Amino acid sequence: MDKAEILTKLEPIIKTYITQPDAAASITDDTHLLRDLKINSAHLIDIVLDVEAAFSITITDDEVEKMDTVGNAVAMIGQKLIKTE
Amino acid sequence: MIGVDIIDLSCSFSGSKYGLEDYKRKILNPSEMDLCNDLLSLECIWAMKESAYKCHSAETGDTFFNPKRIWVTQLDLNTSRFHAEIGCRSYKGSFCITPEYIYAICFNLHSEDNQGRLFIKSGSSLASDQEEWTEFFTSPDHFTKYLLHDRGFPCAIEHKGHYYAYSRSHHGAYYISAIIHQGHT
Repeated sequence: MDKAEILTKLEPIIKTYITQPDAAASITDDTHLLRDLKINSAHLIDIVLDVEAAFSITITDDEVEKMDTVGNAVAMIGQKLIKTE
Repeated sequence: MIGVDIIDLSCSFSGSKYGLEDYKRKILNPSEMDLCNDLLSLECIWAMKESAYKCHSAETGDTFFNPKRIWVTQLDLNTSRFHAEIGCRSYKGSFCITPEYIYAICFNLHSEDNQGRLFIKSGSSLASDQEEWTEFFTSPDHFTKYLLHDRGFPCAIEHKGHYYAYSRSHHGAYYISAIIHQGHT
């Protein structure tokens, strides 16, 4: 699965938890989930669980920390998918 | 430094499609598992961790997202007090559960008045502080720095979503004020 495909699956997951519609308008690789999208930190746990279900992967505690920006989340998911192939 | 967290129970973990065990797996360390037997206790531990994180972050500048790097090491349900550790730093806090919210406040162990009790002020009791709150809503970050640096009150704010929480220490007591305030986020 390439980066674009991962992002296509990841974006709707993230947008589910954005409470400020304006924040979702311009998501880029550098968009920070907490700071830019104002996602509640409790909902980051939901995003991690959603990602695990959507991509059939298990995200470790250390890997959770790498999901700070959209780009880093995509990269981390991509690496996990490669390892599981 | 102090950190504060409020959980709005109307939109917390309990409304999620995931269950207790899913959240425990992602949030709790092994030694914390015994402290948690239902969603309310999980949300309470979450509030403790969040308040400890905010205190730690304000103190050190360290930011991260990994709930398991925060360890709730002691929890006394009789006194509603807890201890937390992040790395080699220790924090001490207090919490309160109401039908609508869970409040948690945490401070570093070096704080001079860390024996203080936790008080909760509801939004309806804020009228006497009208001037203070007007300043707070005008510029919450500036107001917090003013209290902290100019008046020597350790304080913290939480202003995500549709509510603000504001806490401060004064004469050995810790106050958390909470107000639902649409449109001022």
